[in-house]
Amino acid sequence: MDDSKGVNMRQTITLEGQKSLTPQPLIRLEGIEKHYGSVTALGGVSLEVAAGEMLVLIGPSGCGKSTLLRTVNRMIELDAGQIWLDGQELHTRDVVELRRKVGYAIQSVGLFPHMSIFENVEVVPRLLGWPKAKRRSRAREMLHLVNLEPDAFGMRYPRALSGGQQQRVGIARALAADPHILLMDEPFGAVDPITRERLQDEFLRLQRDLKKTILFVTHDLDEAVRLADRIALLRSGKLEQIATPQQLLAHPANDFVHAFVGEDRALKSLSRQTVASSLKPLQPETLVLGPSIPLEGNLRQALALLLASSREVLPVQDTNGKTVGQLGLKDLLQNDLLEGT
Amino acid sequence: MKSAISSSSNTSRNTFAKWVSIGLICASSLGLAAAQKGPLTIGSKIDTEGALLCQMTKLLLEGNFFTIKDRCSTGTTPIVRKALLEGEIDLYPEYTGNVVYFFPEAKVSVEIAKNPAKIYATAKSLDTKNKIVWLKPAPANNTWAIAIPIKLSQSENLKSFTDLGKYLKAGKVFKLAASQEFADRDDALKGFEKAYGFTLTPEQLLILPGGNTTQTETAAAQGTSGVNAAMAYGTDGTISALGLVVLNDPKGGVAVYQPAMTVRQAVNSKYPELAKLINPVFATLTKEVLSELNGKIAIGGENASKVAGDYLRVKGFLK
Amino acid sequence: MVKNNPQNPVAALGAVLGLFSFGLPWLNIRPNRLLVGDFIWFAAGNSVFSGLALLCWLLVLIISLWPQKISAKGQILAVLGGLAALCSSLFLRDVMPAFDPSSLARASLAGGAWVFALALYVLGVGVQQSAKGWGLLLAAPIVGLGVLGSYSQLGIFAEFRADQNSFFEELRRHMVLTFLGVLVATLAGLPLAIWAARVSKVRDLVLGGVGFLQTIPSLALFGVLLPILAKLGKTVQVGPALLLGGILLASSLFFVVFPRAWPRVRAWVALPILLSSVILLPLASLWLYAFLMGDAELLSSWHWAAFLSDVGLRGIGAAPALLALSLYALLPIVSSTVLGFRSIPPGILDAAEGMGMNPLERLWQIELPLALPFILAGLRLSWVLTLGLATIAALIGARGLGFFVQRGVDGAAPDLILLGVVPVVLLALVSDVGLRWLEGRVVRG
Ligand SMILES: Nc1ncnc2c1ncn2[C@@H]1O[C@H](COP(=O)(O)OP(=O)(O)OP(=O)(O)O)[C@@H](O)[C@H]1O
Ligand SMILES: [Mg+2]
Repeated sequence: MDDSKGVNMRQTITLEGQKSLTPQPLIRLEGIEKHYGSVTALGGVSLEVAAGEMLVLIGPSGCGKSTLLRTVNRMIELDAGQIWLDGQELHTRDVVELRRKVGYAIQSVGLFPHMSIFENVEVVPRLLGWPKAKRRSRAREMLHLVNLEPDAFGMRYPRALSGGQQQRVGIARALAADPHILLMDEPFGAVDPITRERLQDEFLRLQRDLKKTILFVTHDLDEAVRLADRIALLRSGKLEQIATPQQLLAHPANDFVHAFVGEDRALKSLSRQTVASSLKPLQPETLVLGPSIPLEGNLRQALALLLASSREVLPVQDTNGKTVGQLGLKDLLQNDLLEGT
Repeated sequence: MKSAISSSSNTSRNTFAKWVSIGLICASSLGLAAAQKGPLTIGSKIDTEGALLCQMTKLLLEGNFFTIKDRCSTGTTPIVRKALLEGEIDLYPEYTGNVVYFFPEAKVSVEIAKNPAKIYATAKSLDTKNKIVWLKPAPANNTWAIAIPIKLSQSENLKSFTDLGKYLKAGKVFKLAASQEFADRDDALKGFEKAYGFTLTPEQLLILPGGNTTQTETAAAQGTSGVNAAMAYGTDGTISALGLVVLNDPKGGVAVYQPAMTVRQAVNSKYPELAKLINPVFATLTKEVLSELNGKIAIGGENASKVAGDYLRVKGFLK
Repeated sequence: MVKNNPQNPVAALGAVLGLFSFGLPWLNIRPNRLLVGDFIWFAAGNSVFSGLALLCWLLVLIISLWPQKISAKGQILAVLGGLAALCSSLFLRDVMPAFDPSSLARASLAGGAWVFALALYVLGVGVQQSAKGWGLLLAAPIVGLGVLGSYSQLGIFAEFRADQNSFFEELRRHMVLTFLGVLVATLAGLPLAIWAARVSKVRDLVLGGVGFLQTIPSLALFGVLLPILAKLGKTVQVGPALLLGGILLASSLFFVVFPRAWPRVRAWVALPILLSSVILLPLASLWLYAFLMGDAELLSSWHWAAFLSDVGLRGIGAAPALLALSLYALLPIVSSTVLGFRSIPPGILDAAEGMGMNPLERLWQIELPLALPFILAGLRLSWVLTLGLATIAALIGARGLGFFVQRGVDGAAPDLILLGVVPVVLLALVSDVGLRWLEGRVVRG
């Protein structure tokens, strides 16, 4: 039906010298559109995600984030535009096979209540026909990865897990068949802020090792700033800005973006910078006793600690409790926060 | 009709059936080894007399080398009648008087309906267009009647409808259990009322839903809800056992209902011996005989098939 | 809730009913099978057993309402109830007239005995709450004395003796009709329900239609079916019917197995499946009917050239009865299956799709297992309802236990009605309990 058009598009897009924002884009969307009657869920979005990059989609409710995500594994068929994964146009691939190769995790978790945790994690490997032993060892590995003890949790059923544990299983399940592309729709949406932050930390740590290519949907700007390599801000099915978190916070492209990132964008930006990056040598007059700043934290946490302690300067300690330097309010102010790096 | 299926000669073309159940075919063809006629499907109404006549005819024909499919107690009158017209069954016992009801458009007069010979002739001729043959009816009138407790009959000297007319005129207590049909039809209660010049008030009528005579008679016998009279059929076997007695009908107030076998014409012409076998048996079924046989079933709780078989053997129709 | 309350209100209700039964007549000695004769009351028996039974019920009442915890309370209640049942059975045996096959007289259980049976049932339910399995103890004495023939003078057994052969035949037929009715309704209803669960337009149509079927009175349905089936049976042959059904089924299966052969066909695959089942299911059920009833003659009638009427598709008899029962059995199956499918959280289906399950895998691995408790409940409901409903088969000459009911009503013979009704009620109770137990095992396992 859209074959002829597809051929044309492909020719134009694969032209030599096509300008790419990133090297080797793994996911490429070109002018994708989706309309539901008069509602425009996607009004021509083009973007690329590089291999190993985490692109976070953000925007107000109903702006088309989930729709965009679901076009990538063809759970929603496009009205116009094209999508390439790994250099292959989507429609050249079998849809079922495609979905099995792309990890998928969603907000409501969607764990299958009639299957044990093991069985849940093994779903895609089973669909792919892996032998049972390999499946099980893979499931154990995945549960370890998301900090769940396989022997304690593997045989349980989802209803016997807390919300945060269920979300870990959701991620383990999405990773089980070792997909190099992950689609995640508010995977940390349904838990309390503290648990969410812990899950985010763990996920960042994971991603540092795994280097998956990730499309991640959230409506929480803090989460986006913490996790993203780049952020894509959508409004009414249109891309408003796509940039690194620092760039987005420092240089909102227009009033909408400006309003969206809010007056506390400087504060948000602090959370992207590690304490280590602004560490100053310890001065003799600094009090070593009392509160201290953890070295592995970010500047936003450091600021919160400084304010809470009513001190100008605090010592910085590493995980072993050894004082490695100091950080003061002045250092934070001198930092040209919104210029980013 | 495909009657070839059960004859044992055409097994050669019948590979599918063999495949389904070879052993079963062998068994059945052994059973059919004698030169069997039929199969004929016999049906009847659900009531006692229906079951009796059905079983009697079935046993009689089986004793004379017919294969019979037993569909006795097929259903209510409309269902059995429809089944016969559709060829679902080949024969069933019906009552001559019912042609009034089967052919409302023929407007059979009460005069004809009251005459046994005329109503039989009418039934016969009206049903020719349906390709249904009426065999000779039994000399028993299973017509509608009214039965009252013997005690009441004796104490009030109530013997006939004429007596009932006087009794009612005197304003004495009377309550009749009946079916809706009995109350509605011109040749039933209204026939009696016209012939004997009385009219029952609604309070004097207890309509029983479903309303068949065993129910109405039981109600009268036990005085349920103040009932002291019951719609009844002439050949009911329950009447005397329940301590009831039927009011005489000297003027012939209502239609005649004689049991007769109704047979599909196609079957009747294929097996002309049917009439020769059935008519003599029906000829012995007088009102007294039917009452007794019905009573054995209705009161004694005996099996209709057993009662019918015993009767045929006693009368020498079966060995 | 029940566990925390030391009192057992259900058992207490049973005891109240049990005591109430003493205020009613227990036995009715009839001069013949039609007339109501003399009543025998519990006190009139002159038997020590009536006093003992009364005492047992009083104890049951006190213990079941005792406000403190009593260990093994359920067991004690069961034993006391069993004793009450035993005493009452012995009382009945004592007052029962001597067995005389030549006499027309009959004994029938009267109100008190029936209320007593109900009381035992209620007590049994109460006992089961605290002592699983002990409820059975309550039925034991009655069954035991029944086996010993202590009630042979009861009217229901007199009716049974008069019609012994046909009773077992009709009992078997009743079960076969019920089984096939539910089987056909399941085979037709499940796909229909799945289709309805998916497509909202179909859903309204199917649920509406299935509900409408329930409202058609059985006699009216038989009246409509009779000429249609009669005509069909006489004009259509087995071979062509099987061929047509087979082709339709094969073609739709082709699209199920190769869904991409003609993508736009999708939902409409259901249509030829439906059509083929409209042809094949009735034929299969007729064959099964003949097979399960051991009807050698009917079975041997099956060959290509036979007319459908020869293999049983007629306006009267099993065919219309089976058809009507299957139609009536559809509602519980379809509605509960639709409910089961609709109650699956959308997130789960979304996850299943997103993880790359194709529609068949989604059906087998996700939807069916999750809807299973609903489907099983629907099947059980359908089975129990159809067991009772199968009594209408007698209206169209298909007999079954309804045959006795019908003849009993017609002949105003209450014991004959009971001969049809009591087995139906017992079957329904037993199979309800059995199926619930099975359900629990399947769903948990
Ligand atoms: N199946 C559908 N039919 C009609 N409209 C739809 C459908 N799916 C989505 N939409 C509309 O498309 C728009 C985008 O929906 P989408 O789910 O992508 O929003 P979202 O950005 O994920 O919002 P949220 O943050 O609330 O999850 C919305 O206006 C929504 O109402
Ligand atoms: Mg969304």
